[in-house]
Amino acid sequence: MRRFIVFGLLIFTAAALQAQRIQIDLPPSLAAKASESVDVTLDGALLRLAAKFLGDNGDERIARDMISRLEGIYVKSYEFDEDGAYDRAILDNIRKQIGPSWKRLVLVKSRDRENVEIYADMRGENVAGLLVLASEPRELTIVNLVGPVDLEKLANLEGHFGIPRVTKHSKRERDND
Amino acid sequence: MSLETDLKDALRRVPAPEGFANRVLERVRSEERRPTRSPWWRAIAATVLLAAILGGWGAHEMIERRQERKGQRAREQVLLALRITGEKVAHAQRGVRHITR
Repeated sequence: MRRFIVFGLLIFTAAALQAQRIQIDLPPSLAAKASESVDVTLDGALLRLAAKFLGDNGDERIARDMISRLEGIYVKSYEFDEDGAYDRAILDNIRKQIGPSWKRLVLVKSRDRENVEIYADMRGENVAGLLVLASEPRELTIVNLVGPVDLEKLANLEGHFGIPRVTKHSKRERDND
Repeated sequence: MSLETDLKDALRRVPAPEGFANRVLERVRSEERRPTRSPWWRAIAATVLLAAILGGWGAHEMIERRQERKGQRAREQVLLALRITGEKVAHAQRGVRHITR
């Protein structure tokens, strides 16, 4: 009986983890059309392996802290030479997968610049997954982080990993960095 | 009484044949001189052992190197993924700050 309970709990946990992952199924022709494309697929085992090779300084330490509890990172990003090279239904198909536990944190819409939507899989007060959809006429980026995500750390990535620090931080924020 | 006679006959002291002791000693000496195993067997066994050790070490090194390449690639992918994610989140933050200003 105890075995069945443990087995049931394992299946439940696996199902709960699976629920955070968004299937990013994009047509292979998209990468062929793109002038630049990035495809990152890292499951839990690869993240743990990567953590062993990340150093103790600067960005690598931040990266190691960020991935320490993650179970997966999935990124697909494409840049095109001309406008409208991708079907916007791709984004609708991804939005359809968003379950009731997902909450939209941010929606930035711009007529001529990048639109960004950020969704978080909220389990109580904890974030169990993150989805970022960024689109503009010549660019499409989809990011899915699976597992507990520290939103504060994520928001403070500006100035790290080669991301230019454009936002002026208050003195208190700078002191915290 | 025939049993007693038979026993006496059987246990009667019989002198060793002429040169028996010398033949025994000669046999012992020749046994000592004869090599127990051919040196070829030792050479073959040593070669097989060495090949097994070197093969095991080589396979271990190959697995280690493959694992290191995989780890380095995963590390680069993590950094790239976080850079892309960070850029998009930063863009969203800037958008939100711009609107709420």
